[in-house]
Amino acid sequence: MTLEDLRNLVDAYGSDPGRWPDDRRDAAEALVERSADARDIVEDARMVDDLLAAMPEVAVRPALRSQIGDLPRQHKQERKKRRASGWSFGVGHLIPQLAGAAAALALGFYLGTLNVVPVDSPFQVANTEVVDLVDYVYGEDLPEGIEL
Amino acid sequence: MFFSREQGIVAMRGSTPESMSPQAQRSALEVLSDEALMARIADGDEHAYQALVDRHLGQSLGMAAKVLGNRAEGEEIAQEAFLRLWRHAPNWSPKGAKFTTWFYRVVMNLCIDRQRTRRATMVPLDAAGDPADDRQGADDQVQQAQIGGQVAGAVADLPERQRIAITLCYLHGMSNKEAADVLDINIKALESLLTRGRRALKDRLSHMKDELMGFEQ
Repeated sequence: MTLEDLRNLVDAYGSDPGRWPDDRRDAAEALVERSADARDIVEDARMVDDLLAAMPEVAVRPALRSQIGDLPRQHKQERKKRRASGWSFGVGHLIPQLAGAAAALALGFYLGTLNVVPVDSPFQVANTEVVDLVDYVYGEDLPEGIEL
Repeated sequence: MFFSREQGIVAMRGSTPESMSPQAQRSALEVLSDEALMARIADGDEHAYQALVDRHLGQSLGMAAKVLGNRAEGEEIAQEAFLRLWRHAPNWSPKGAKFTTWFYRVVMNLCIDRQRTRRATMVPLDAAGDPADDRQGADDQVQQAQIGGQVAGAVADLPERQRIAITLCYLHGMSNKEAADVLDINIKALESLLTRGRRALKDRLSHMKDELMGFEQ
């Protein structure tokens, strides 16, 4: 392990060897043992650890504990309704979305079966007809009423 | 508080008998895993819910308050997380993951959502800390509060995911594996977040080294 490897290790895991990954701990400790520079690197990391340890704890206010403890009583009915629906473990909550998808599918199919192009339109093409557009691209013999 | 083996077995099997005192019920539930408590909450067991609140409220509040840099918002997040726990318990399935991985991921995701919807008003946590120990001198208390406040400010200024990684690993003692699971990333990616976060903190707080050493003496 090099000093740079050790720097990367302590920057990720801190100065406490107990947090270092097993596969790198022995090599890192051996380096710290024999190198003053390595000890400086660990000391620097300890400074960050100590500062983080100085962050104040956040105590739980009794009122908050009580509010959170009361949540089941406030939301009991709502949960009963969910479970009573009988679909709560499956796709029950997806019913509106599934109904919408089915309606969209039916409408799409219906519209697809209609020939919405007017009968007298020069664009009208039978579903089975293959149209060669090459001539149109080169400006030859466009059907009457079509201009490029 | 100890409870009899019989009471424990009854609690493990299912309903907590009304004949047991509240204290005995609580003690019986204490031996159950988080996952077993969730199974009971799925059946509407409020005692099991209270047991999970007792176990995880402090940790979830601390994480949320530190990630958001704001105690009041941390309390709202903790409340929302426990509400989700209660609502989703009937559908919750461990699927190989620990309860804590799921629950703290919910907490962290709520924090991320909160930050994205409105920029948090950074109230330094020094204003939110516990009352200092009476045995310490007044000067020490002030100095400790100042250091804590500056560190909280520096942590709050880190990019979001670095801040979460630092909070989980260094402020709440999660192993890197647990923190990586909560963040849904691999260990290498977590190491990268921690490295960048710690280097930024070191740059930002290096001027406090002497102050800290003086305080320790």
